[in-house]
Amino acid sequence: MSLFEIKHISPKNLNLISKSISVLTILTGIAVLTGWVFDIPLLQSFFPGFIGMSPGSAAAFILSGLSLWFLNYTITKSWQIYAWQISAFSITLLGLFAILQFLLEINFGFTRRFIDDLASNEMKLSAVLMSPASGVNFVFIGISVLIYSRKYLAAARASISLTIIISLFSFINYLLNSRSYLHPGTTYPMSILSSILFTLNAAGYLFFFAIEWKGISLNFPERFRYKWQPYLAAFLMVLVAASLRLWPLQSLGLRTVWVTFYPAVMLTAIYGGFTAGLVAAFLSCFTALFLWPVFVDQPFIKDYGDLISMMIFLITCIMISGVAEVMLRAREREKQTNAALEKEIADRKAVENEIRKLNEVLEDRVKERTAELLMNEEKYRTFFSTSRDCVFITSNDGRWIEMNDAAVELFGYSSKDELFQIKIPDLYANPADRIKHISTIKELGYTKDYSVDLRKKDGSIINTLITSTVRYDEEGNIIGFMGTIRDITERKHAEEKIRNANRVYALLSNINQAIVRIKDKKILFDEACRIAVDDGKFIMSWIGIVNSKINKVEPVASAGLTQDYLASINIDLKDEKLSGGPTGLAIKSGKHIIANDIINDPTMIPWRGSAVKLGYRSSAAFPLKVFGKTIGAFMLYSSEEFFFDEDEVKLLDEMASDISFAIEFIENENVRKQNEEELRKSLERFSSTLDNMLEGCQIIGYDWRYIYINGSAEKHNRRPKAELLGNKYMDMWPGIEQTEVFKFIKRCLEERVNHYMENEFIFPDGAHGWFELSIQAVPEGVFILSHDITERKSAENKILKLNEELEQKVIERTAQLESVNKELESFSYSVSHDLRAPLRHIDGFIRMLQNSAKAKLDEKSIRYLGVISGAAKQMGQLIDDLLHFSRMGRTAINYSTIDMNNIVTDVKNEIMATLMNDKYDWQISNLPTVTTDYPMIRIVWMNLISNAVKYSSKVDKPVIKIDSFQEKNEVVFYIKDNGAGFDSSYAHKLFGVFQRLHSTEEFEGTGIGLATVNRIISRLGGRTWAEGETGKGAVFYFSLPSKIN
Amino acid sequence: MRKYNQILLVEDNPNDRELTVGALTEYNLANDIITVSDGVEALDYLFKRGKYKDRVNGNPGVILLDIKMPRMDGIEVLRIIKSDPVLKLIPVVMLTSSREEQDLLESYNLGANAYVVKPVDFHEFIVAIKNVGLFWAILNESVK
Repeated sequence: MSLFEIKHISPKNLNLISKSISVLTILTGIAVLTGWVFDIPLLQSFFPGFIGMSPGSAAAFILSGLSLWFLNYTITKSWQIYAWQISAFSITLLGLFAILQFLLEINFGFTRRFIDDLASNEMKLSAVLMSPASGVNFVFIGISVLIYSRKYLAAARASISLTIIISLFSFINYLLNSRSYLHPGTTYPMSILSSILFTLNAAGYLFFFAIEWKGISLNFPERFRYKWQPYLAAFLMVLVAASLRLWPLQSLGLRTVWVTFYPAVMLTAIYGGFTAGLVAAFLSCFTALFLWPVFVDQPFIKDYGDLISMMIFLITCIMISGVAEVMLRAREREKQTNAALEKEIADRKAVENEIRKLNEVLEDRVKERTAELLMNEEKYRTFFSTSRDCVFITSNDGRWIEMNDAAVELFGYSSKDELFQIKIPDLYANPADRIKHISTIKELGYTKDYSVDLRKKDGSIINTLITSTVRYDEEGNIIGFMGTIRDITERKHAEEKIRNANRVYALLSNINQAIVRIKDKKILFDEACRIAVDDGKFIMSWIGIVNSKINKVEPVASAGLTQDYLASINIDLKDEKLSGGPTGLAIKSGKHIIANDIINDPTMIPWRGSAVKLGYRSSAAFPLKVFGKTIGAFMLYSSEEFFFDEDEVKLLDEMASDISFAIEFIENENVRKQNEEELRKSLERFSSTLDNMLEGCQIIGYDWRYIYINGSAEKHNRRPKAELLGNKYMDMWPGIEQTEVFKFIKRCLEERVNHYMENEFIFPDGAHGWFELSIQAVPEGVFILSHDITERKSAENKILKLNEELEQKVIERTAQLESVNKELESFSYSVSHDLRAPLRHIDGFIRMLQNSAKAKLDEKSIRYLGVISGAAKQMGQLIDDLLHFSRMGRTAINYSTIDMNNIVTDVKNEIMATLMNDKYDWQISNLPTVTTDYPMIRIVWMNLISNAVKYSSKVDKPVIKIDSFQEKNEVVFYIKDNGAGFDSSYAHKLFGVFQRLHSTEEFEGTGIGLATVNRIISRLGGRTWAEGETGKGAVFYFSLPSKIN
Repeated sequence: MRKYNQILLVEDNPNDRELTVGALTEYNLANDIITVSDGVEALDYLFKRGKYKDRVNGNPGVILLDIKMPRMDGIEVLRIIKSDPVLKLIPVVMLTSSREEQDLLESYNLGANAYVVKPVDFHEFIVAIKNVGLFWAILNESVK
């Protein structure tokens, strides 16, 4: 295998690369040689300081390059072949010399002329000799090229690859050993240039091989191939000759140098022809010229004599070679002649072969035809014997000549031999037929499908069709007949069946027509019986219906030959015997019952006598079922025995079920008619209901025309219905399209949406009417139910008006009240200012009087002044309380959520602070949270608590209890004391203004506090009340609503 | 001796005026009291108009202003005083016999500095006047 494979480079490019390498190699070789000749060190080594390439290597490279060039060249001429073969050969030789030089430590002296002045230059000396490694490489190259032509491609590639390896080794050596490798005398290193060139060369060869390998053949002319043997022979011969001459025959001296070479050249020429001889001659010269100086150590050509002997040698050799060539060619021609002869013989043999083959084919054909003929006969025979038709050959005198198995079978015989015993005339059912048959055949020469009845072995008759021809002898005399017989008995039977079936079909079809036509049961039954007899060709038919009262079958219709058969039939379903006939059984079982043989049927015993007398031979009964219940049966009688077979019964079953269906239909129709009548009546009822309804009913069709109007609607419309009916809604009420009601009717018509509305209708005369309208989608269009609500509406309107008036009044009153309130307010304002001022002045001036006149006044006067001052203060307090009271009735209420505990505690503490007295026992329970007005409720507690404190102040151990409880819709608070109490008969006065139950001397007070409480609580939506008893304390209650609206 | 600020008393009722002055006299404040009988006069005094055209003394340290007066009531006077850039700095005490809330609210809205209900009880009245007078006339530094 090669070290690398080329896959992606096209053959054309490979060729180009290969050629380029060859040119490069040649040029390099020439350059190196030039270097040596003109002593230019750079050209010798290319790499200054490195050892140069030996001149031998340079020459070998030139040859190698040439060889590669020629290889890549399209070879068309023989000299090209020689060129590269000789090149390769020479390369190998040069390589071998190098190896020999190294192994034998000798110098062949090719390069002696370069060494002359080199004694001092070791490096150059070392370079001059080709290294053994290079030698090996050249041998490999040469061999690979040589063996390549023999197509040892793999070996050639391997050989070339080896040169790369060796070169690379050398190259690596350089890299590793540097210049130490250069010491001469010890080794002969390969120059660096050589190693590069070897690698290149090898690549060139491999590329070329790759081309070959890729399928591009060099396409050598055939005769150029394998012609290397003569040259090898020449080489070997010369080698042997040289060896012989050098060693065993050395003593012969120089003059007879050529002695061994002549025979070598001669032998070579005889073997290989002119060129081979010539090569051998030149090789000999070459050897003599170059080997001799080495081995004999003296130049071979010393004088002209030597030169002449060499020339003679050469000329002789050329002559010998020429003669040898002529001989060789003669030999070759002979060989060719022989080959031509041999070819002719072979051709002839081939032709013979062909003819033989042709004969064989012909013979085969003959065989085939024979076989075919045999087969045909066999076919006919098979046909004759296996034909399902009876085939016969008879003699003129009525004897069998031949018949097939079908014939034997036809006549019912057990074998041919048996049939052979029977004379033909005996086979005819009617002997007269035969005479007629034969005369017909004789007359016409043949008969086709001649219908004849024949007799079988068992005596039964078969219907046959005979197709036959007359057999003549050579003179034209009739010698007999031949033909076929076809048994058509079954076909005839089938035909008859079809006829029967057709009859039944006709019956079925006619009955079906009758069913469609006739809508009356009795007529249908009569018609069915008549059709059965007329079209079905039955001798008699009748229909019996069960009379469920007496449980007997009563004939309701019949046709055909009955006489008094039906009158006496008496089918009693209670009696087993009388109901055991077909009719009874069919009715009981619900299935058809067939009596195909009346004469022998045991079930027919009760009626057999009269039936047979009337000619009834078979009968069938088919049940008639209505809504799943058998109501009777349809009976058919035939004059033929076994008339009813499966197929007919099937059809007749169908007929019976058709009649049943018709009865069902008629019954249904009756029911339907009855229903319709009922429906009509019910509709009438509805209609009259509608007509008489108090609500107006109208139906408007999809075309907007009035369809229906009842009496009430007539009244509502205030128009006679005759005027509206059939007319369009919008034509009757011009302008109606703009109204609400029209929109909803339209929507109902189009979208089927129902609507309820109250509608004010304006009549054409301008009158108004209010109607409750229910607009509903109905199949006919729109149904409008109207209810006159004009009166209700006017009442409603009156109420509405009254309400409005009332509201107006309320507003007015409120306004009045508000103005009064305002007046009151300004009044109380004035009071608070103007009434108080004089009092203030009285009090003020008395005070000033007291100050200024105290000394002049007696005690009485001073007391009077005190009384006046007290009265004035009392008056001021009264005015304040009154103002307060009046304000409580006017201030706006602001609701908020209030914890009563906080207020109560707060107020209690405030009051107690002014008293400086803690003899009171306070029992305050936990109080609920309420939604109310803070300042107001505070005033309430202030009044109540201060009252309790005030009125219990004279008791030793005053106890004040405050608590609450939940009533239905309110919370009740109360405050209880054990003080003075009050006379409960005056309890109603407690909460009035200026009402006091105690004197001012007893307890101070203006009598306005509780009135204020009452006013506040009632404004907050609660109640106040009190319980008490003189001297035993009092309880004051007030309630607040649980929920504030 | 300390120099007291002047007190302007606006009061229509001669009785009240006398009583008020009497009360103030009790505390030796009478010398510093200027009395006018209604709102118009009060404004004349303050703005140096009419008969007070030639007034030379400075503005009062405090104004005691009655609400209910003929011609122009106290509320109106208060509004005008408090809308004047100079006068609005003078403290105003509303004096009234009214306990009506609306007056109270309006007075404070307009910028009254105190509100005193004239008690009927002379003693209480004296105490009230005394408190107001002392507070405004003595303790407060007036704005010159």
